[in-house]
Amino acid sequence: MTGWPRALRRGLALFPAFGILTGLFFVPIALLFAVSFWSVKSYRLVPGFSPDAYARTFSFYGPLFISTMLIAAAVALLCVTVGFVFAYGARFRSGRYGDLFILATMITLFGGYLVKIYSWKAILSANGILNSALIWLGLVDAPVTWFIFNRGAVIVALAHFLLPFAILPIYSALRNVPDITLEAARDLGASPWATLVRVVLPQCKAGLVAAFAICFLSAAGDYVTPMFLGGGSGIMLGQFIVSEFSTRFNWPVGAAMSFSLMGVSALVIAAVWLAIVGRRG
Amino acid sequence: MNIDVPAGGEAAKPPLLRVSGVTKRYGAAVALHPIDLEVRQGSFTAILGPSGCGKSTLLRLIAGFAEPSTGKVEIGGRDVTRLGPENRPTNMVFQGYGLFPHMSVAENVGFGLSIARRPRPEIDQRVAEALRLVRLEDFASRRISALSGGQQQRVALARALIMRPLILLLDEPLAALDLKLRQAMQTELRRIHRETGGTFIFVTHDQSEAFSLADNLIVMNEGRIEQAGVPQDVYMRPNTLFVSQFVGDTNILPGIRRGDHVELALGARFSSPGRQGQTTFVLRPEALRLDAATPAGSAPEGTALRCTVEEMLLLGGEARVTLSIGNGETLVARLSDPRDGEAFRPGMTVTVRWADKALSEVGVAA
Amino acid sequence: MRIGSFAWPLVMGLLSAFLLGPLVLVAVFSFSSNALISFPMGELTLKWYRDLLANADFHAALTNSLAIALPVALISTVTGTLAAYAFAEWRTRLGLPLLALLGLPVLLPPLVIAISLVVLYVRWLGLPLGRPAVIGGHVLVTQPLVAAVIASRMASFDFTVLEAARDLGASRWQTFWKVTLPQMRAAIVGAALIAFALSLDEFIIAVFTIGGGNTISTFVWGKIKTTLDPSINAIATILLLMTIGLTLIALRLTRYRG
Repeated sequence: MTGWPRALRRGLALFPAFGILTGLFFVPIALLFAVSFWSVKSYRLVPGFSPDAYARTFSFYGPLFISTMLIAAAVALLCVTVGFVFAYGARFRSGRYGDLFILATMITLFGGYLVKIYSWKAILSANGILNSALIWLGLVDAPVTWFIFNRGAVIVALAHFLLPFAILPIYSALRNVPDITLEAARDLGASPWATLVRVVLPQCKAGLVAAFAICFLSAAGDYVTPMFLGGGSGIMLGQFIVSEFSTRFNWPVGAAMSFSLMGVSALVIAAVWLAIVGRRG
Repeated sequence: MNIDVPAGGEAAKPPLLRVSGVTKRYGAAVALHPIDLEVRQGSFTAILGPSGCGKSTLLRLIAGFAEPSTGKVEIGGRDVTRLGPENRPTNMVFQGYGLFPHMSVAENVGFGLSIARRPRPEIDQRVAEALRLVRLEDFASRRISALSGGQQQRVALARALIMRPLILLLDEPLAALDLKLRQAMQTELRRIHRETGGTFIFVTHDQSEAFSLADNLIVMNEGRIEQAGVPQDVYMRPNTLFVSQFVGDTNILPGIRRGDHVELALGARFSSPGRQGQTTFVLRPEALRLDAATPAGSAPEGTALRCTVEEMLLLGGEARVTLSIGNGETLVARLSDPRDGEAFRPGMTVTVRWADKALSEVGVAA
Repeated sequence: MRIGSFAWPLVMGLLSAFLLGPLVLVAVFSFSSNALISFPMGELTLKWYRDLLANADFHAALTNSLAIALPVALISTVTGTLAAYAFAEWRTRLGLPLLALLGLPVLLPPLVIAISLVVLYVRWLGLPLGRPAVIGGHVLVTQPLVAAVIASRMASFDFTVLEAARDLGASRWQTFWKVTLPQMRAAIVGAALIAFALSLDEFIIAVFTIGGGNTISTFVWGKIKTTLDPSINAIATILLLMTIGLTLIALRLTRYRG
């Protein structure tokens, strides 16, 4: 260590992590991108440069693409809104219990991806806890069947899974909002609503957009939740990416769908960023 | 208006701010014991005290950020005790300023008026005026992060003053600034107070700041007002040992009163009627005169004692001499001209004298 | 008092219930004799746990998961800590973009990562899928989190103590072992636990790259997919306890928040 030039020390320290990043992320993603321009002839991959896979993505899967984006947008908006309310409550309206709410968020964050989906299935299904509770209370006679296997169930379960990912960045942005700026606004005559809109929200824009981006991308790329809870109306593109890869063995189309999904998601997020954070510094 | 009240005389005018019987408790902890306080229109009042004495709590009660546990706050004769800060005719310059980081200087200053839905031209004009008052005309479109600490302080001041508050409240306004800037801002604050003719109340733990700015001084300790009055009076005639020590250096002289005379432990005796028994006097170091020649003895208007110079410190603009009286007691004298100090060397025998009226009685020291 | 003084606790309580409710439900029903999660709850039983412990497939899955999570924790802690060290020296300009770059695999859908890894392993390298393949994928997503945790600890690190140590005669190496490492130890251990917990829980990369056999999460997957097997509640609870327990210890150690 002694006497080694700084630049060399840094380079060596970065090498393992970025070596893995390059070998297992950049290279495979680049390869996958290349595959998206290949084609398939009688279950064999044929290298080449053809836009067919993208054409198929947008023609055949076009409507599904749109409904996937709508589900992702709904989930992201729900998460950002509810996440903001929760983070705001924890930061400004809970006194010393604020940390406890954030701890609850952390527990939910790390508390099992499949377990949550399974739990929502158990809650919403025809013989699940919600229905058995409603029947036991005498509120309904027969099980309600529209709780599950539709778009709403997917949105609720995804929002539950992603809510911690929205709360944490928003909370960390709110922690950087000084309490005295709120007091100053009040002192200058601002109502709680005016303080929220003109002082608090503008100071945590970046956190809101980050939360939206994380939730939107994760929701758009999910396939397990719609598979279990989506039924017919809640199907999403991810399920078909999986089937193109595994059962149909059409890697180019699966790859093209993946990159289209990420590309369009990036555009949506960029648009949201421009609209909210805007062009100025 | 009541026409029958005799015209003229300060006493006839009701005070702008009246705080009566205000207390503040947090659970079992008492932040403020009953506080009574009056501030008249146009004054520049300092609330001075050590950290944790309740001065900031008192300021927040006046601003409306906290409700008192008991008592009443009146501004301009109106009871505002239950009003929030958004509904009080006060505005605050916060410690740390609380500027809005996402707004420009002009947007910060104009915030209150835009909340009040004043027309755009009026806002622009008053923002320009306020910025001129604090000499930041050229900074209107700057971002807050691009300003120095002193400039941020002025923005905070302009943002509060533009609301034309009946009372401007300042919480440790100069604490974050370095010495040079602090002195410059003191001059600025005095000028702005003069030009606006407003009523300013500020909280500070720095006695020199309180003395250089205020025409009305309130000294607080442990949730109580220890003394209030004109700064010079508070300095020269402290009511309590705490005040005497907090607002400057002091010699503490225990003594016993017998009949109409007091005998001090260091050996002086002078005429002073009052409560019999043990008592304590305080004496400012600058009230002491040193003399190398004159012999000891009681002068008609004061006391003179023989003593030995123990230590002499030259502190730039002044000299501080520690004197030892024969019986183990010491006194500290301050000489405003350091050249006078050079005449006194450790070990010299000198005469120290003071006028009896320079002594303030502070009761029995705890 | 104002409405807010009563409305906020209600809102926060309801949202906390929404967050934690589904997890609590699973844990509670893992002790119920009901075959399904339904109301009212049946009798208390440990049957599902006993069944699980007797299940050889579960043992195999657990072994696989541990054989993956341990190396993942070790490798990503080393690579992530080294990277954080480099970021700390570059804190001013390059550090943050580099950290963001390292975090890219966390941002993208795991499905895409999983597919691209399969394409790499199978098509280009001709490597078999299995534990090492999963380990590679997991390190990819855990090392940026380790780096973030360590970097945030380093941001509050008082670097003058290093100069003080050198001034008192310690070599660079001694300074590292006797001053730097003891102060960073809690954060490093915490980060390793988080990496371990994430690897245990991760499903999508695992199911694509494990080839044959199961990890705990793919084992759960198999159970959910086929029937509503009540032993799922027990596995899920064990998994929850492991991940939440580990991360709670980790949060304590790192004092990492957000």
